[in-house]
Amino acid sequence: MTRLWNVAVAKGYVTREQIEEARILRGFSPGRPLGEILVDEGFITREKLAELHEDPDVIPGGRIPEEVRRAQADPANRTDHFVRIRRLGRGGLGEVWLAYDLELSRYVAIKFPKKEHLAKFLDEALILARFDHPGIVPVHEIGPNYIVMAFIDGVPLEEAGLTLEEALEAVQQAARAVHHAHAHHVLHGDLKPGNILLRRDPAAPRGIRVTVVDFGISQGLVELNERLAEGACVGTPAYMAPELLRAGGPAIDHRCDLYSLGATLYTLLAGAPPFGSGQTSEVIARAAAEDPPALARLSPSIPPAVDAIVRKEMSRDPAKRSRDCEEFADSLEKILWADPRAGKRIAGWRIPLAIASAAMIGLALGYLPSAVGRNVPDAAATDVAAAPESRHLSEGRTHEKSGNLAQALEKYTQAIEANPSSGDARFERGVLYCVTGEYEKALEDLLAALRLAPDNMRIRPFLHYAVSKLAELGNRP
Amino acid sequence: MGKETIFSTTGGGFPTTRWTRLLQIRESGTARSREQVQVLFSIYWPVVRGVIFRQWTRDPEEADDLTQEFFLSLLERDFSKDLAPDKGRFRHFIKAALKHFLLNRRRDERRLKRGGGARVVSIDDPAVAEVAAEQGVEGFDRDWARCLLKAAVDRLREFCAASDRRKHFEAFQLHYPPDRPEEALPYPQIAERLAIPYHDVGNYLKWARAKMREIVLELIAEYAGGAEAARRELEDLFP
Repeated sequence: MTRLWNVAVAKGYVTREQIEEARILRGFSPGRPLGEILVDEGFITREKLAELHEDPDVIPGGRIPEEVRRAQADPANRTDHFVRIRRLGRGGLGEVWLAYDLELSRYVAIKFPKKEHLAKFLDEALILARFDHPGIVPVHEIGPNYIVMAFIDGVPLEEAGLTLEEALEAVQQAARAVHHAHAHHVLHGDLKPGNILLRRDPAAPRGIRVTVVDFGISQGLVELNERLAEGACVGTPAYMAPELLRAGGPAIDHRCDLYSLGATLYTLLAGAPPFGSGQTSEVIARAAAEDPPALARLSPSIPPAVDAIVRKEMSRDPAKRSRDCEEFADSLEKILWADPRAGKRIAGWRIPLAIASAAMIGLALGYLPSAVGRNVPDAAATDVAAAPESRHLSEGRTHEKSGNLAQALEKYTQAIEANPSSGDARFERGVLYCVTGEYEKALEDLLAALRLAPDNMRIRPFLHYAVSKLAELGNRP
Repeated sequence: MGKETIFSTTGGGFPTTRWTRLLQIRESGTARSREQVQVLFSIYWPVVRGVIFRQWTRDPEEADDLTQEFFLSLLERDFSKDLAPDKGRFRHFIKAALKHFLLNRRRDERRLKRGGGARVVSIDDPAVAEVAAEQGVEGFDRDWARCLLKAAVDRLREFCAASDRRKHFEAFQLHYPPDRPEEALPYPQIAERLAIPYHDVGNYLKWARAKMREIVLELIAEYAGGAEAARRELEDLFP
């Protein structure tokens, strides 16, 4: 029995026999919450049930959060002992909700598959339940029409605003998680940036922690080969290994996931999938016939060692890829730490991938920001001329608030002149240029700001904004 | 060949043979009575057939034949060796065996189809979900629970008929129509329909619910072995 009903029995609100009767009646109308049946049958009052949901014995962590309390007010948000709070996503196969587990006092993610896809999702849950790895989202519970999983408060890799170093670390962690799945004879089958979530965690290596999600089309080797032989395979073409796309190709093994991880890293570094994300047939044709474009040509800031490992994992011949995901992860680790050339360079860099993306867009527009690839200046230099810079900045902000943008711009420029290594001043002027629609200037200032203050989390959103606006407008400096 | 030629379905009823009996047969080392085992398997026939029908063939006769083949495959090997209380419940054993059976069938079919071109589909393609849904033995536990309920309702009906409580059973059916909760009649309408005093409706339903629970637990105990194990299985089947 669940904790809630154990407490209900212990407090004498309801008997175990009544709960069993309610369970059987639920068999006649699947999907109805057990608590609702108990109330309808007169086994327990609605007030007592509500009390139970807030009972300290039921909720070891104490009182429930306010947002949960608000959501709880609407009975439509209840699914068994979970309160649905907000929808995290919706697709053709079903919905995912952020919910709160009233029994264990924790946030969870609940998948509600459409009826016709329920079996597929239950398969996913059974696969996930086999794993025990910090990089793979754990399954907490399987209900009659839903699957409860840990809520990963992260963002997909492509939205994470990663530095080069972080991108390598993220894919390295993901590769180790996938290796764990392979050790259980399960392929992921749909690895891509969107299926790897990232959380910032100061205690984690390089400050990030990744979780591989969506094992929805995972399968064992036997099943996968059988399905291919039956004439169908599943995945996202931009990240699928060529052998999955080739009729009459060799038998499939775990190395198709290696290809997807290589393509994922490629996308993170280049800002777009290797063979584009357009028409499926075009992507498939290119993946089957071409090597990916060299990363070094797209962005000179990407070290040759990284380019080489990406190209290796994206080999059309699986035999030329790493032996397994662990070997791939080790290779990335070596680049990050041990390689005397590439390793040191990367370890010292804080090159945001937003810059790599900007560089690509700039390249397409015939423009490459000069700031890309430079090193962070000595922090000591920043302190010397801080005082006048602060004054100019403060005055500039006041002008900006009052709508005097021209004077604000002048003040920010003076702040930069007073202290050319001030990330704050560059940032403020960059934002102001966004406001005035001068996106090229904004891009230049924001890139410089990021180089000067790589840990300033406010910069990246504006940088993305400026880049997207430039791309949208097709501007050429 | 129809299923009746080998397995009798005991008139739609559920377990009359205890699961523990099979274990006793195994432990005693005596030759299994084919008849006893057939009766045991016949109980689970609809569940297995349901999975095969939905996920393998829509041809009723082929589904019957394959279901029979499945049970025969269990009989042909010394399946009881795979059974032990610590290896999981009987329901799980049958489920795993069915999964393997279907996997082997799929492998055989694949050999026939080998050499065909691969069709690539995007994961957003609705057809993909259909492909994915064909895997495994989906719906097995749900069907098991439904079979159990059906058998329990049948037994409740028989019990009510034998003990002059037909109206108790009718009230139960009217208030808890299987799979059609929207058609459930409220107390006043049941009283009117059955021509019984309003205050009796609650009493009839109370009795029928309790009897239903008793019967369900009896049925589960046929294979779960022990009262407490049966209560745990009930929680598992009807979460």
